[in-house]
Amino acid sequence: MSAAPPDLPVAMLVARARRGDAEAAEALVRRHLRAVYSVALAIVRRPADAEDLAQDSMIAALEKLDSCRQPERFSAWLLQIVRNRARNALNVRRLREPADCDDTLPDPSCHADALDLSRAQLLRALEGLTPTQREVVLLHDLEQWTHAEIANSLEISEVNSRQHLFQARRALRERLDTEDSHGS
Amino acid sequence: MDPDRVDLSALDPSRDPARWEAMVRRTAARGLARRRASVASQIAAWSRPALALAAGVALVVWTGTLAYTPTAESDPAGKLLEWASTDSSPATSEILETLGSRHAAR
Repeated sequence: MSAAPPDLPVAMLVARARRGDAEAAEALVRRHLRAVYSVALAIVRRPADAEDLAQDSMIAALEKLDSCRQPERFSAWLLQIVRNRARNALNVRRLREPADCDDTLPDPSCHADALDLSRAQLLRALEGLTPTQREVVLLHDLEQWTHAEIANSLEISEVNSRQHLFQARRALRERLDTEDSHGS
Repeated sequence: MDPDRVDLSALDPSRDPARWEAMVRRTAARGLARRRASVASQIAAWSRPALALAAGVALVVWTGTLAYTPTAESDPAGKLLEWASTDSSPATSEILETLGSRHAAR
């Protein structure tokens, strides 16, 4: 079987992966895993948890690839899987963990060893955003997705996506500036 | 490049390319393995009731064949013998019905 070219349309990759083509499956993972990670991070706000969720969601998506009824909309279908899993994981975590370490990473006393300073600052700043704002800013500024792609994935309008990005960036800058002024 | 873009590279999960590449390969391999196992189990799950259904149908057909014994009404030769032995004279309609049923059975 020939290797799947990286620029092959997603629907063709899905069709080939359904037939058990390992290269196509790998191309799907390579193309989407970062975005899946970003969506998971937007919800659970812990990079290690987001990585685990990204891998588990991607594996689950490949396993039940036949239930993706519109292969050309694979990305949106996949991101919905990770959103559902991340929300479930967050609910479980809230039940299990004590209130002082609840929810997120920003408090270094809870998760000091895992993060370097800039990463911790960014995560603390992201904390002030809504889940949708976090998802939009991570997909746009980290994953380089276009507003059309984000709008399609989140089932919102492109104008709405731009508004979320504008508000998210402004809130992030304010929080990062505040942190810098406190730090200096 | 968008000048307003916030630098989120500290959160980039692929900052360590070797680690990321390994994760991509591992995820794809595990996903495909789970898919193959899932497809195989689905086939196995469907084949069992299909086999059971086929066996049930075969059993019903077989017992039906065993239970069938030709009756006088359905056997024209038996009817003719009955008329001959009892010395009775059947009505025309009975003859037509008996012979007709024989022709219809062909």
